Amino acid sequence: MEALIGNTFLCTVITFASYVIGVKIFRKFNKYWLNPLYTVTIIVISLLSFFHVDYGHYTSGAGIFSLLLGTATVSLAVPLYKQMRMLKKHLWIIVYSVSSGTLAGVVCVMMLANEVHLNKDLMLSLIPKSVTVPIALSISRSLGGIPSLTVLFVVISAVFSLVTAPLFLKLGQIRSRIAKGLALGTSAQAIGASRAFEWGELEGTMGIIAMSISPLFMSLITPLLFNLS
Amino acid sequence: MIRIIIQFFTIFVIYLIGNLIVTWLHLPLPGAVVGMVLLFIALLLGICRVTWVERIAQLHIKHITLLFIPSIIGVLRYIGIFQTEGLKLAVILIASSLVVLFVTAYTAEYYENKKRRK
Repeated sequence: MEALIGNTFLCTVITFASYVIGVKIFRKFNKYWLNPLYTVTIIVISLLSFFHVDYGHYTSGAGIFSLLLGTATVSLAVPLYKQMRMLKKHLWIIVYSVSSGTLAGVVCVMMLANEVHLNKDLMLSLIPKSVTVPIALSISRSLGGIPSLTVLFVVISAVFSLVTAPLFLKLGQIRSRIAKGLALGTSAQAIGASRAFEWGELEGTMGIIAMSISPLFMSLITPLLFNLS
Repeated sequence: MIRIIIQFFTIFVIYLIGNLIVTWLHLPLPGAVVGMVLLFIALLLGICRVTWVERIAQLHIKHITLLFIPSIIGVLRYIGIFQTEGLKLAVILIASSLVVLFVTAYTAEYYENKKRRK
């Protein structure tokens, strides 16, 4: 018990301190490649090795963060509610495209994983990778995947989609502003939505809606596909 | 500050209710997603006003990166996987990301064009 409290304290302090430093660096230089995600990870790793802290001790103290990921998921209802007018106006186009995009991603992962004989744990960790981290984590856990790999997969695919989407949407001759916003929000969640706002208000709003609604489809699709109940 | 704490508590209680519902009904859904749906319905019905939870929701979403960090660090334990399966994983990640992007974009584009023609 004492060890757990110690680890929680350690994990929380190190993570918070690194985050504050990472965000300060990002604000000061304002370069997109200085995203706190990488800088904070590097700072945490350096602090852990500097103080000779075992990774296992650090991660076992992360309970507070998984709780906060839960409340973060619940919070997604707020942006969705605030976009209610747009959600109602374009309801069917949103439902059709976000659900088919999410489903296609899952099917693609399953087929390719089967094709290259990928180990089952890895396949299960890849399944929920197109939705926002808190939900991807809990879906991965309930499927029997490795949650922390899932986080990495979500981040890698979001960053990849974010960087390549402008080019691919142009090559694919996507003209609809709604389509662009939904595609970015579904594939790159929050960072996709904020990129979509650079194109315009409509694209950004669609990005936010797609980011908050795709987890719903994902959590309905996965138990159906894997018959979890 | 006190307002933020009260707002957090509101969200937290909804999260707990979501988890309880999942346990009681044996739903194959994450409790947090059920909580999200509950909050959305509560906002729609006016049971919960958006001003009651707005600030804490913004705070969560703004600093969501902070919450990922411990999980990202947890990946270090599996670093060996990338040496053996790295290429396969890269191919699947890239291909499926593009599939999500294009299927979403083309479906939306198709429905928009159909609507316009009507």
